[in-house]
Amino acid sequence: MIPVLRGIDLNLAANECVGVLGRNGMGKTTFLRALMGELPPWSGTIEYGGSALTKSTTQERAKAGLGYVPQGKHIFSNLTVAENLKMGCIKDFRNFETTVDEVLELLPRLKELLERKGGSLSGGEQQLLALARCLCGKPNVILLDEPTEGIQPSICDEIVDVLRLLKEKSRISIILVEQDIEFLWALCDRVMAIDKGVFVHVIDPKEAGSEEEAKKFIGIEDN
Amino acid sequence: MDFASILAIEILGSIAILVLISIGLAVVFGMMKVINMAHGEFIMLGGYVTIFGTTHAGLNIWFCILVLSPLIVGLVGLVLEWLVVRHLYGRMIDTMLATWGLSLAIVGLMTMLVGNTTTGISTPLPSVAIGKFSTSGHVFFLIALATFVIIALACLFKFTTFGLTARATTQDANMVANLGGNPRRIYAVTFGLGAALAGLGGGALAPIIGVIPTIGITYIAKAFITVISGGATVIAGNLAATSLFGTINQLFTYWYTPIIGEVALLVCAVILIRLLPQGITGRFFKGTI
Repeated sequence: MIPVLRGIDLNLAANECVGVLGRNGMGKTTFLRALMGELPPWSGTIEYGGSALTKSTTQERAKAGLGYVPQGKHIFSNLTVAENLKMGCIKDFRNFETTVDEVLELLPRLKELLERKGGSLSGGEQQLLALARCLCGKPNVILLDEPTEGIQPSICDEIVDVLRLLKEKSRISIILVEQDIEFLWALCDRVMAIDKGVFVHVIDPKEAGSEEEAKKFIGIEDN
Repeated sequence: MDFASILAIEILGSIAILVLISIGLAVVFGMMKVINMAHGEFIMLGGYVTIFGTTHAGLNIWFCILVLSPLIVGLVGLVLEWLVVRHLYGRMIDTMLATWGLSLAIVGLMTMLVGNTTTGISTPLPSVAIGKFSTSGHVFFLIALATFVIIALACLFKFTTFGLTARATTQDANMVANLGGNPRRIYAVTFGLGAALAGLGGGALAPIIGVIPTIGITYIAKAFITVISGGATVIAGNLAATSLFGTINQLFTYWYTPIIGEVALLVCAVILIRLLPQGITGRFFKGTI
């Protein structure tokens, strides 16, 4: 067996947004799935708030405060939007109506869709629903896997606005796996470039020319 | 008119019996994609609990049918899920083999304990006359019980948080875990619920069919055919398949003999699966519970 991730070392501060940038197959999704406990690491440790999470199950990590929006959305297609949002409150179903209402204030586009089946929504609406469902769990850390994949620009802007608002108001930390440099630069405090399972470079989005520097890590190089 | 009424009641009774023997299997298969080959033995255990509770412990027969049988068989199901089935989730063939092994073990154990003879109790309700015809009063009880079970399950899956979580787990167990839910617990409760429903069916049928340790094989065949023909949707699929098969079985039984009725049911199932490989709900009633 060949290790996918090697020597990964990342500290995430409260209220910080860290991007992970890299070409396809470099281990970005594997990194998030390992953090979430879907793929147990062979070695190394994962700590959150001073507690070791390495041996915790996925649901224990979710209960500890990790929220995950996986690639492909993974919404419950046979459940309505309202039921999907209620599922987001599974850690504590008490007062779920209040929680769902709070999340719908952040993503009002979903209000009109509450009785629709998740599977009948457009890709962008499904992405908003996946994010809203994650927010219903009141996470302290959000792991977002390629949220702009196949999504129209207006919804990408909506997601950026919501995440910025959350960062400002509730000190949520975010790990954002993405290949869309514009999206990453709109949100991230720093961006880790990953190549063959190793963080090879740290990019500061505020630095001049950083976008050009980032392009070489996703195989786009200006001639 | 009397004949039509009695035939309608017998058809409803036949549908009710199919519902009671197959709904537990439908719940476990529909929600967990596990084919529980020990389902027939769970029905058999439910029958014995009712018979021994009534004849040996002197308990009220309605208490034995409606409470004791589902409770004890549900607990047996929970224990077996914990010991065997939970280690095999996602491996359908392995689960079938393991539960088949469990069924053989349960049959062997019960044969040692009670012997290989049919045991029974008399029906608690008198027969009901309709004109010059009469039918067992217990058939009315079975129809009422099956109706209650279907409505209660529909409410459970549609209106409770357990039902919501169970439906979500059926679609994407990993995502439920990512949200903080515990799919293993949902699976365990669902398996226990399926076993409890089998126990209820066994207890309810004991007064009209009797019980023998090997009776499970006759139940599992019909239950299996009904569940596969119904498709993945638990309640709509079960209702559709039991209505079709129950009607055909009873009509052919009246026109010819009970054996021809059974053959007609099987032929109908073969044709149905040939035409609708995903079962009835693979084509119709999509999106229902």
